[in-house]
Amino acid sequence: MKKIISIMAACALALSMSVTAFATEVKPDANGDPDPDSGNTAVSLNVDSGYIITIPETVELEEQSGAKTTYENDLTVSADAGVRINEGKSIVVSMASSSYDSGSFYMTAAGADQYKLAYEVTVDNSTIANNGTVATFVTSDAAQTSTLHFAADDPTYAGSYSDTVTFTIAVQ
Amino acid sequence: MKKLISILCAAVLALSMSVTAFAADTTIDQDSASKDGTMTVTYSNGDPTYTVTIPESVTVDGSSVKVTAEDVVLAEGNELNVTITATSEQDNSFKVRSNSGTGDDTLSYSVNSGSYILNSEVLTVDPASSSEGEVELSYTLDDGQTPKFSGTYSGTMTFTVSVDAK
Amino acid sequence: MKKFISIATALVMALSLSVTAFAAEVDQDDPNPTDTNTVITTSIDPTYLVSIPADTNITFNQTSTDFGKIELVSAQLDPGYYVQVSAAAGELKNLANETQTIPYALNADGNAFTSEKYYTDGANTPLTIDITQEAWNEAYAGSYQETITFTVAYTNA
Repeated sequence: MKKIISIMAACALALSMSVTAFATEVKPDANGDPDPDSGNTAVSLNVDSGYIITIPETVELEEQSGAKTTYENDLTVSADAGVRINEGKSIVVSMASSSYDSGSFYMTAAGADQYKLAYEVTVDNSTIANNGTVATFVTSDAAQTSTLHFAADDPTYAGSYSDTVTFTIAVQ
Repeated sequence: MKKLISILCAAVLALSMSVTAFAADTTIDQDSASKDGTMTVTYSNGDPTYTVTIPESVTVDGSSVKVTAEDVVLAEGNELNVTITATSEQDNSFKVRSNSGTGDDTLSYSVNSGSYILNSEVLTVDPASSSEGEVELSYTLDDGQTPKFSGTYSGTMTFTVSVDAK
Repeated sequence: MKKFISIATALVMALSLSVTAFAAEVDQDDPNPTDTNTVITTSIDPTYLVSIPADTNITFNQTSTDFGKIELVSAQLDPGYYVQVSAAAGELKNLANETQTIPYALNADGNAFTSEKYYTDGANTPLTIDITQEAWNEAYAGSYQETITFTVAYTNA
């Protein structure tokens, strides 16, 4: 019996601690006047967020002939028109790679045990470091884009080079 | 003879024990100019009573809430009124505001009771007709609006209770 | 007709090989934050330029004549690959009578040259044409000539 009472008491306590919305009750005071004379009703609406961010799964750097040979290409990160997120927030896209070392990203080729091909990533001519922000999108009716420029020098060795970068999309 | 005297004495004694009339009472005898006496009959039920319940919260998605009044007893000639007197907006417009009421974007809404759009008067209870009353209010976003932001849009609506002469 | 079919087939094949760009889409229903991967690639074909000795004139009775060098002038090779140059010595032949010959050795640093592997830009092998004095003494008069063929291979064997 004691145990049952204890459980019931705990249940009652749990129920009493849950948040309950109380209405305002107005009754007359000693003079017959309303007390309190007014009450507030909280009026609210929840709006869902909405966005679509698109990031290509591959980008191939292509030979650029000039004063010196380089390998370059652009990658566009985009947000479809109609981004809607909480006020004051933005969608931040950052980029990282495990290849990053001493200020450069690196591609490697099969069979090349030691040799790594360094490449640089820039957005609006600003160099991106590891875990750097490559795009920031805000609530907007219009589509939004950010263009990343990848560039590598002519490597010492021929071959097929690759690196995998991870884009992190976060509302913050 | 003794028995008769005893009875006469008892009668006189009984007569002399009759209840004395206090000052508020009216005494009428053979010499009273007016042979009429009046008595005022009264009944008092005490102070006015009423309980008005104003809802704590409502969602602007067509949801309904009730404002109720019960056990309404007022002085004759009075009625109980519940009116919308203010909102959280500076101009008291019916709007909810982004970022839980602190943001820059607003959405306007309407309050309906049945097919009636309410602006201020919500409920009137005349105790001469009934001691209770209620009104169901539905809150709906006005057409043609698109929220700019996600999250919670909110505001408050103030209901004021008054006892007024009819 | 054959040529026409070949071209049409090639065209169809080219169209079917067109690259479809795939992209990842992240929306509001995905966890916050969400990660997505992109592969960065580039492909560099191997290239190399080998310089072999130009025509050389041999002075009579000269036992060793500088024959220039084999050089890997520029190269972008796959890792582990190299350029191999081979050549073989023979005999100078009398232009008037091919049966009259002068034997010679194609040497690199005093040793017979047969082949060499080249891995990096600028790698080179200076060559000499060596003719013994005995060979000179036995040679008939006349004009002699020989073509040395250098064979270049790209391999990792």
